[in-house]
Amino acid sequence: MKRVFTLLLLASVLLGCTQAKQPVKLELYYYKQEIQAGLKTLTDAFTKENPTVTFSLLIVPNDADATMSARAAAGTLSEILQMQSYSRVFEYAQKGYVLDLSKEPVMAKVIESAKPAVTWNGKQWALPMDFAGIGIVYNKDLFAKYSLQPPTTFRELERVAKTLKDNKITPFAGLLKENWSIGHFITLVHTSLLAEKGVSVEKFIADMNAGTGTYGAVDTKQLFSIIDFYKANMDANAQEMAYSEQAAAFAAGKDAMMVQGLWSYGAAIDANPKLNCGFIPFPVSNDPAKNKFYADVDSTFGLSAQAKPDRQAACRKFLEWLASAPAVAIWTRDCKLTSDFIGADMSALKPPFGDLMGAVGRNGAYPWAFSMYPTAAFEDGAKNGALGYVFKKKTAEAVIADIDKLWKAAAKK
Amino acid sequence: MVQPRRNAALYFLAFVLPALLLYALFFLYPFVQGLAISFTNWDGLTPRTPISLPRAEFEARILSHLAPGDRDFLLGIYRLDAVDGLYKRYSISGLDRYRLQAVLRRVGYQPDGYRRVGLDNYLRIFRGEVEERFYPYRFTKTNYNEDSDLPAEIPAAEFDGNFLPHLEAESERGLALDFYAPEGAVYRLRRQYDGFTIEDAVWLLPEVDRDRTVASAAVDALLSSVKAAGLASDGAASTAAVDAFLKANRISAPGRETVRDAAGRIYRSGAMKRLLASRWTERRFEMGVIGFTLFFTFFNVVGSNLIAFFLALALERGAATQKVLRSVFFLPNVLSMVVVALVWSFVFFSLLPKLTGIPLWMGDAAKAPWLVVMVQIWQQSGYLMVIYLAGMSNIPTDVLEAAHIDGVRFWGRLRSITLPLLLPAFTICLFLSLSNSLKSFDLVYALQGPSGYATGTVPFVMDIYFDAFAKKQAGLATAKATLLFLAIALITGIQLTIGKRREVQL
Repeated sequence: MKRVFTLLLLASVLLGCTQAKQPVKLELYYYKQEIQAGLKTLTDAFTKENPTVTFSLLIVPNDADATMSARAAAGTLSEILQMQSYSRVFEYAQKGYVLDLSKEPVMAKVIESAKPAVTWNGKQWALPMDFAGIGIVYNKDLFAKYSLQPPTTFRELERVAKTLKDNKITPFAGLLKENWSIGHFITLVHTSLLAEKGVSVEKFIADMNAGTGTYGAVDTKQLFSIIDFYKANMDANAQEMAYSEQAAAFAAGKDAMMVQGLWSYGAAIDANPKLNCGFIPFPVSNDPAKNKFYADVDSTFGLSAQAKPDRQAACRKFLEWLASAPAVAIWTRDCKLTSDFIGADMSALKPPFGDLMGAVGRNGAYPWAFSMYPTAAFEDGAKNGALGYVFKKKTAEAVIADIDKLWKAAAKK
Repeated sequence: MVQPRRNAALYFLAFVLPALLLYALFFLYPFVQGLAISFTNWDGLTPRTPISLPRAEFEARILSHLAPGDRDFLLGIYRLDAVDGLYKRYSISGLDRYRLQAVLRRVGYQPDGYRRVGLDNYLRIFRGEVEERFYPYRFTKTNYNEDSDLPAEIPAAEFDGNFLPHLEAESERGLALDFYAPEGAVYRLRRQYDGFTIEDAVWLLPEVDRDRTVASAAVDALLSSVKAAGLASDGAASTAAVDAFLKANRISAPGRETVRDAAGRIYRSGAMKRLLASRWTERRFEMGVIGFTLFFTFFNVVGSNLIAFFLALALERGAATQKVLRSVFFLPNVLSMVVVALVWSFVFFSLLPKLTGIPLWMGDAAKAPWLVVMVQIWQQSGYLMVIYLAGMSNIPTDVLEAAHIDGVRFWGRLRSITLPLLLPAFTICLFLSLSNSLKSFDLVYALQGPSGYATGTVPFVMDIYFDAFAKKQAGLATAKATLLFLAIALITGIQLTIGKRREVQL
């Protein structure tokens, strides 16, 4: 009997040893569909250096959050989670789903201005990965054809739109079939108008969360007249146009500009590789100095707090590696995204990215306020509100009142 | 033949029992769990059993209330992280999960985002406290916002039908026609009132544009004061703003004239803007989520059954071409709804605008609800047709032939023989189309996504989905889902009862 017992013990010890050396397969959950191939290259490169760590990549491009929250509730979160900055990270941090990464050495390699996007309760809960901007992607060749300069003020933008229209070119490629783009737009203009009033985004968000602010803290007349201007200069069938139709119309040279993030520049350049594009801030003000890119940390990587220790160790190693020069090279070259690490070499990126990084370096940027709105206030209040306004289903006052109401309800929780 | 007892028991064990078990596992259990969630304020994200808790809270609220056995169990799951002073747990599975929930329930611990709120969710729905768009409602559609530039053109149908009739005074009509002139199918804004051109004259003054001796902020301020004065019909304020601007800024004589002229026209536009904003409106009825679901259900049930029945009637005899046609009409049903949506999106975006010259289809709130119904009917009719065909093939041919010999015409045979004998098929087709339409989700989701709120085409289930995942109100969403379940059970129950009773009567 004793012998059997010893044997069993020996066997289990042996098993334990082999288990320690056993390869770990980490699940990486991501939503950016444009980096599908790049991410594979990235993780393969890591596996090559660390043969015991392999990855299974799980992409959920649409409704990424719905799927992720369902998995969180079921206790089956992936080990590595690609999350949008601010609210998403904060929510998961608050509920205890993601690990505190403040003390990870890799955090020291992140540029300081990227940290607020992942900082909740004074700690960092995810690793900022890329910086993205929303502004006007414009067709340089079309602009040159009608001798137009990229506008630096709202008045100049109006002139550009007028000239284009007179020449039968649609100024803005429309996207009103989906609600997210117009949702970005209303918050972009709103954020610029806050600056016009001299109110910082942080102060505005704090006031709203405290229940003392209102979304109408800005010049709402201007806010909605700019939305009307935007709509009036879109394709006649903008209400039928989704993301791909917008990029297609822009790529075909039918429309001269699109108010978008650089992610759609990728889609346009795929459709027409000869496209010659520039990227400028959407000018809300008539004072050029006040027109800055609406730019901030976009995606981040968080680690599941419920992963077993050996897996957590492998995940940490991966995050650490992401800041290394070869990883940054793959990230910028294959994923075609900017990097949030200090001294990252971004020479592989295409010209519009240079426009973005250059302007932000010179002029600064407005943070992505929408990422700091409570989920319901952005998803329903801003996105559906702005779309409802454009469809004439809602008045300007109703849009503001709804955002205020949803924000209050969310902040009370 | 009477089956031996042993065989019956064997069948029960081999087939019925597993089915019952699966039913309990995959229907009853989630259903009961869903019911439980509908009585909470769950946000869809908060874990029922916390993943980490501060040490003090964990010890005071949970640990100190526990019986020794539970205490050991809990400390086997949570471990204290000395560095950050938190009790943490890894992911747990199986029975541990339920035991942990039970233990926490016993000590009365409830996370803030997962708290029992009794009937609160249901009461909110019945009291009309969820979004206005959930219920049918009336609202005033305003076609123009007075803070924006005057629209360059207004469709004649709108101008003649929806704006001019709302003007009472002759002076108002005069004003409207002074600004807008009919031109084909539109009314066009006269050039001298084009907001952009008027303002640009000021912006292009040499002092502003070239020399930059006048700050752009001053021009902004002037223009917005004159606009505001125009909207308020406050002539004195307008003049004051212009005078102040001209006094503060050094501008040449022709330039001053330009400013005065522009200000005058902007001021006059104010009256027109107010008129458009206040009178170019219409009282509209919006179906809301509930209304659209009922609209969709009604037209889909009627439309798809009628079409399916007549298709079946036409293809009943089963000649070779008819057999091919049967497959053709059934084909849409083989496609997934997402593919159907893609195909139709292409039709609405690319094909129909080219064929008809009408640019807006799915993006037009007036057409969208009908188009959604149409696509659903297109997809579903073939399936119902097959059921009707099966029903028709069960009608004994001798009866039909006898009637034929007796000289009964086609309609007579249809009314007195085919229709009554098809009642079982009607019952099942009605049931299928009713329950399918009441719980439809995928088609509209793939066709429109959450933008459906703007076109008023959000069915009940999509609203539930949006509440649960975008608005983080899983508790409320589950309550809505429970109500929908009850409604479907009730409606289809009544329909089946009536249908069966009629079948028996025959």
